[in-house]
Amino acid sequence: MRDHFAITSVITLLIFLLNIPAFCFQNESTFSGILIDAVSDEPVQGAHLYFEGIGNGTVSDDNGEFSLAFPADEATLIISHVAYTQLRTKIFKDSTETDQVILLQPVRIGSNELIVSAGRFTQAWSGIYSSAKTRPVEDHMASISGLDMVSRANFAKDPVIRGLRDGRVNVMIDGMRMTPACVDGMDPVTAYVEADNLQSIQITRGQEAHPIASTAPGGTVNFAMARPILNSGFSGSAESGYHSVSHQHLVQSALSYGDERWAVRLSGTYRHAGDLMAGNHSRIQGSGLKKGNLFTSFLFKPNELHEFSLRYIGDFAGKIGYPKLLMDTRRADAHIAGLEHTWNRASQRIHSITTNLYINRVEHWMDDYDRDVTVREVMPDMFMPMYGETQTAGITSLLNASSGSHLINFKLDAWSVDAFADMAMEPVNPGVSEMYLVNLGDVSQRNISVGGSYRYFTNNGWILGVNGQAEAGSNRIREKSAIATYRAEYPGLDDLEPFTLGYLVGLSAEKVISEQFQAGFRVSDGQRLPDHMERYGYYIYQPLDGFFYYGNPALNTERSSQAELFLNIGNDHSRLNGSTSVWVNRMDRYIAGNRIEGLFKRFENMGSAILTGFEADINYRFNPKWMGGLSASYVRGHHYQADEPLPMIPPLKGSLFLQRESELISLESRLRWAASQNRIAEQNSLETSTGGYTLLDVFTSVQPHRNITLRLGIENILNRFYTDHLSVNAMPGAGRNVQAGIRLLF
Amino acid sequence: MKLFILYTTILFTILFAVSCSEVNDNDLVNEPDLYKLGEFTDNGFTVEAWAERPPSTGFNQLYFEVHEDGVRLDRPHIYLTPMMHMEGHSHASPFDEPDHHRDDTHDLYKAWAIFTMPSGMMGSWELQITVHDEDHSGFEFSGVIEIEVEDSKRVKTFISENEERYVLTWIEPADPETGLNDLKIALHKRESMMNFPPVLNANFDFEPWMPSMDHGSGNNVNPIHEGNGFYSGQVNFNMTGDWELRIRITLDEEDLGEHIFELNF
Repeated sequence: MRDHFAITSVITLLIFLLNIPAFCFQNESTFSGILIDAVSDEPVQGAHLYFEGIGNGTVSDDNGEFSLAFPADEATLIISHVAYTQLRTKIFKDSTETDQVILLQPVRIGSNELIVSAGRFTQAWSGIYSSAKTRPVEDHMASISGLDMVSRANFAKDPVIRGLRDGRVNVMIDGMRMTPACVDGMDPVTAYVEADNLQSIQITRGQEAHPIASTAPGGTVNFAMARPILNSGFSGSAESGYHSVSHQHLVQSALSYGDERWAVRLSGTYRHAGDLMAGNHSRIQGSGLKKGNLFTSFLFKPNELHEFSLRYIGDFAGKIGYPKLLMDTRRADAHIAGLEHTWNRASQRIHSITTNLYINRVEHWMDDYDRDVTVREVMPDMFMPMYGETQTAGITSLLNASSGSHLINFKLDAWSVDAFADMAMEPVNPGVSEMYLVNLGDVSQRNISVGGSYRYFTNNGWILGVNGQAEAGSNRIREKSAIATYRAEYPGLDDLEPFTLGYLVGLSAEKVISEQFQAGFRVSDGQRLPDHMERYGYYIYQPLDGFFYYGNPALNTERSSQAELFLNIGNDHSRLNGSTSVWVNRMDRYIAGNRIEGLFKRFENMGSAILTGFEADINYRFNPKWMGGLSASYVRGHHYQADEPLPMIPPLKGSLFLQRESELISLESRLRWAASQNRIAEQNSLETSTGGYTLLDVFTSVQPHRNITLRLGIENILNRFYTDHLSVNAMPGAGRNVQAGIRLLF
Repeated sequence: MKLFILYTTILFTILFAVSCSEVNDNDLVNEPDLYKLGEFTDNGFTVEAWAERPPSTGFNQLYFEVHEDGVRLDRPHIYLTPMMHMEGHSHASPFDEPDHHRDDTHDLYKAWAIFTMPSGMMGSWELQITVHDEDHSGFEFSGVIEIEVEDSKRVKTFISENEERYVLTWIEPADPETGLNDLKIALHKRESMMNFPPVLNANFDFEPWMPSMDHGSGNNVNPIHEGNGFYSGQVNFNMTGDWELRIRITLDEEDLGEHIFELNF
């Protein structure tokens, strides 16, 4: 009944949104023009324009064009984009009705920087490292408030947003969904992308986020792929880096060419590391890795209206050590491909329709052949080679439209996941027979969702938003023994392949209080569909609590009701800027493992849980070169049914940084800190308390020539031994790490 | 001449018709798709014995055919005794007499026997068979078919604390698969060397267990009596490998102990 009500509500909302332009848009004087990149002369798409204090706003389309209602005689136009310096300019009545070309200055020196943004702001610290392509992706994301990383090894950390992870966080590549193949979580999406592949990392916290919402209650991490640039001619780069803490060698090279109609970029990254040294010179045996990554992107623009972009990432990992887990990755291959079509100016009010067709395939092999399995406590005296594969395919179509002070987005998202995983158990004793089971028996999910958002900029400084999404998903399991297994586990369940509906509705209101302050709130209510692991994963070992998990085809949707208050100060380029959010997230039908017998748990909807917390960032620019800032975040989680804290909740943590940026020499020092975490789930997990820590880092970047950049940095200068609370099985953090690199452009 | 041809034609037609009415195709012996245990012939009558697989310790489904000079006999009464000859003595085992009607699947006379030990140095098995017609008015003959019984570890003979002897047989699943399998076991009491009546009121509490993994499985169904000493339940194997079927038996509040069958698939 609730689902029915939710769908009816969403449909009503969509009908309302579709009709808004018909009765809201009025004939007003307009200010129109085009935004151009001052360096590349390329149009700037996606920039946000609004009149200060009036609120009317819009977003530039893929040609950089915009049109904005202008009801006053005089107003200040503010243009912001994460990649460009914010522009403020006075507009007068007599300048309207004419197309104007506005140049925007790129915010960074070069054009190859990786931009990490969370919410309204670009990550401020380590700006000097933003163009370092050999830096692991997770290092670029490390200090976003409210974003934490689960560490399983010296490799590929898993993002956690506001205490939620796995299926509760959407991790996408250029809007494409990707499904890790390892059932033990050893290959999060970050395992298959390198910084070289990316133009930006966009992080949204919470399920209510513009332009399009997601039913993932934690939020979204989107790795936006790098694109070649038209009319750029031949260019290239080469980079080499070294990290002493694991003797990690990294090399990267890229070559690109851009003509008037087409452009192509080809690049590769290789890294090879030995054992990680934790603090106090303690070696983590067996934590080495090696992997290579190939990336190519082709852009074709036959005319001004249409643009095609073909991207491919091939990521190939050799052995990757997971000394704190039962097994190591022996090999992992990922192929990620997408074809995107952008239709600019589809109509007068529809700025663009972007359709992305994609497919990716991941294969992952892991085993414990290099371990002494006779001495371990879990499943001793046997080797356990495991294999997993997933194939994810989908199509997304995003429509951007605006008129005057009304912004509308619609999105259609259809995707499927096919997954298989199995494991053999090979006893050391030759007299004991080999065992075999299927962890994911040819399972698949087919999902489709439609969503939309609407924002209205009022004349008195309010920005009102509403968004909604309806999602439907079907599930299948096909492998014979897996079906038999689930029939056996759920003898009373008639339907192993349920059809499920989910939804999300959200409201937001922001108020531009003054030139420096903006405050608002967001509320949302949504239901997440269980993922394929929660439904069909079988005999999945979870090192967090030491239990083997069974999926549950009968799982109901997980409901999340969220509210957030936020206050923004300034913007990316003002002397003082920052943001703070206070939020609460109540989750009903919370999906967690319920102990059934012995070492086994089954995913079940287990009552209610509540998470609450805050994020705070404040940055201050002392002068054009010097800047400092601090950040802090906190999450508190409690599971009512278990009557104990939620497991794996990050402690109070934050950072403090001071940096000097200049064309020749840039410097940065950073203090990372975390409090101890003693709120642990003692009854339902093996989680242990962790102590607090403070780490000091320094970085420097020297650019003796405009085509040469040298970097040198030392992380954890004091070589402190520490363990992040979200590290699995107390995997220690890196000790003192001297990192050096050189980057050449040509 | 025309009369001769007509006479000959009528004669052959009559002969053909008569022969068809006495021996049709259904009366001819066919070779079933089964494992042949053996045969014997006595005074023109032949008994053939078949099984679904080479005989092994435990439960064996048996099939018989009786024919006279290649023509099958209808509804013969077949008496079966599986007999183990050991040094100094002989003993039988639990068994069931063949049906008086042919079974639907193989069109043979169906029976079963539980062999309690393998053939070998300890002794040898034979099927002692006697056949007579329905009313004892016609034929009667006897013979034996010697068989080799392999060890399957699917039968346990044990002595209770009350000095009673029992035969516990694990029958199904014959070919275990991952998932829920039908479980069928049988319990017989050895009253004498020749008499093995079924136990009709035992209670079973069983658990499948993987010693190498140190865990079992859920959603198993304890066997309950379905008739003639046979008990049915369900067993869940959640992976392939070495398993144990741990079966605890109580009978009239007497604990008959825990008995373990080992299997690997």
